[in-house]
Amino acid sequence: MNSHADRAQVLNGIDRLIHEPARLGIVVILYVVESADFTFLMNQTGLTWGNLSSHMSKLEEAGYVAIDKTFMGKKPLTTARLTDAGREAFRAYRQQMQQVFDDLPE
Amino acid sequence: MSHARIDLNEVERRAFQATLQDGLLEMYLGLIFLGFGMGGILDSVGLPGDMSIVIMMLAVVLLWALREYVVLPRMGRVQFSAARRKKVRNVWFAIMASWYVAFGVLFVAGMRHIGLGWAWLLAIIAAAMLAGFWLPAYFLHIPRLYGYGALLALAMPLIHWVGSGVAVFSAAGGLMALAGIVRLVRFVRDHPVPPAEEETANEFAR
Repeated sequence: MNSHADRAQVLNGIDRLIHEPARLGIVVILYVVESADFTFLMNQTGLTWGNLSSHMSKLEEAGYVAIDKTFMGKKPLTTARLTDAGREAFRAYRQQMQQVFDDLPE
Repeated sequence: MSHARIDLNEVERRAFQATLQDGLLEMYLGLIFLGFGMGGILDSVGLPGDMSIVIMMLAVVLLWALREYVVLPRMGRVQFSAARRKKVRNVWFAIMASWYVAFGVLFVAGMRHIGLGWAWLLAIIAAAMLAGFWLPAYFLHIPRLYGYGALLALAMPLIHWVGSGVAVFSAAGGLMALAGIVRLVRFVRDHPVPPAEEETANEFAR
């Protein structure tokens, strides 16, 4: 990127859904595993249950996360995994952010 | 989560290490080494040594129940990537291989009537112990296994000096199991059971 305008254009194109810190934390964890339940995600991200649910809703609405509801015995178990679209979106986001940081002057 | 460069390998490693904070690994390992000495201890107090098998089986069931009903509701469940699962499998194969090599050497020496002497015998077993603990410590990033491996390897000469493998293995196993119990207590204290899934399902549905 050669100009402030170029940098601004890249920054404007950043996926704001993933860019939000709490959701970025969730997406990063789900990117490095195949699936995880809400309890594991809560422990890894430090989010409260309510916060986690809220962010997961947004990610699911965007098609980045798939939520599977099953039962472990009689107890409901909710697990989440990144969809292919979610993985691709995170890869694109990461590439854009690396580009932004690489081009920042010292 | 910082927007600076995200080290995905580090994130995955921390997620994997988080699943080993409950102390159950130490308890399983401690149980194995306690098992080596349990028959002898039971005999020495006038109980049938065969009871050790029943006690070991009960202990395994107890550890399984601890994981299912105490640990997992607090830790959560995770399915790691195929790459991670393969790495864990390969480490276990390497551990098995090191023990096969150790016992192979001892077997061949026995068959050929090669008098190895206590020093060599204990050195071979100590080497297998070290491999069994240091391989996962290095490849799976479980640093505390370096200490346990060194503890057991150093315990080998003690068997010769004390004159009792039962006592040494039991002591080493007991120490590891105790470390596991301390870890479990700390884990339970630091990880309360989260709200029930029903509440989550309801929140999510809104």
